[in-house]
Amino acid sequence: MIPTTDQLDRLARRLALPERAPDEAFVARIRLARSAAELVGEAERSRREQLVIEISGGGALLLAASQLGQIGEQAAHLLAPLATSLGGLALFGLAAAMMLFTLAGDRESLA
Amino acid sequence: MADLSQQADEALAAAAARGQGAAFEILVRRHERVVRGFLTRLAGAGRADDLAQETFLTAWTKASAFSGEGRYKGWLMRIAWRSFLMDSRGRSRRLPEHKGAGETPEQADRSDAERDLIVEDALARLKPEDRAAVVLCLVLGHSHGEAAQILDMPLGTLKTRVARGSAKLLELLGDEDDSDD
Repeated sequence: MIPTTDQLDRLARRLALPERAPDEAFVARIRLARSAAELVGEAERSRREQLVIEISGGGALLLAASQLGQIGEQAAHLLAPLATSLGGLALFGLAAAMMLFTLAGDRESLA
Repeated sequence: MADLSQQADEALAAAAARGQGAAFEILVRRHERVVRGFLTRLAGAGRADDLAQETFLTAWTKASAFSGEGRYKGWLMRIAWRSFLMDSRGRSRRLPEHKGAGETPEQADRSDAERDLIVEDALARLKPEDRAAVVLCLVLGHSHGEAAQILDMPLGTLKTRVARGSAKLLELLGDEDDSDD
């Protein structure tokens, strides 16, 4: 069945939306919803910023640790040939000399 | 500064895209009746206001996406239609929406509220696309071309849906003029 124009007009009248003034309560509802959405957006932004700061801090700590490790490794590379070229007795003597030197320094400072 | 309430939708939409909340509020005041009416006819009174709120929030957050081509109202209706579709898809996964096609809407008493319920019930028996096509063209006065753009369907399909939906509504509601005017 194909509806006639008259039938469609009558149907349109039955389905018509009632005329009314703007609903200020709904306008206020949208205003509040917008504010709430903006607050949620701001909270998410600040959470993201905090996360970036924490990740950067973690990265900086890792970098510092790796640099310290490298320095330690370099020091070990320098000392290792010395340790192998000197005998055990010589190393013991060196350590004892350093200890005596430190103790002497402590006494002087106390006096 | 010029009175915002006197400005055209497109100027207000451009101001809203720049973050001017006051301009957007005028657009809400201007179009809420039609958007809520469209969604009431599509989704029923219970869901219409929540969907309308979602529609306006999307229009606010994506204000810069309105290119100025076509009417602002049409752009809003497109957002409303998509909000309705998304919501319906979510709902159809949770519970069946369509009522039995065998029942006919009650037509005994004709108070305004009951008449609204009868109309709502009859509309609920149409497929969502047919319902939207009928409401846009017959109730809100959009041209077939505009409605096809809003619903994102070919013009021929839109016309078929309007004809099929109207015929089905006439069958369900009866062809009598019970409006008060």
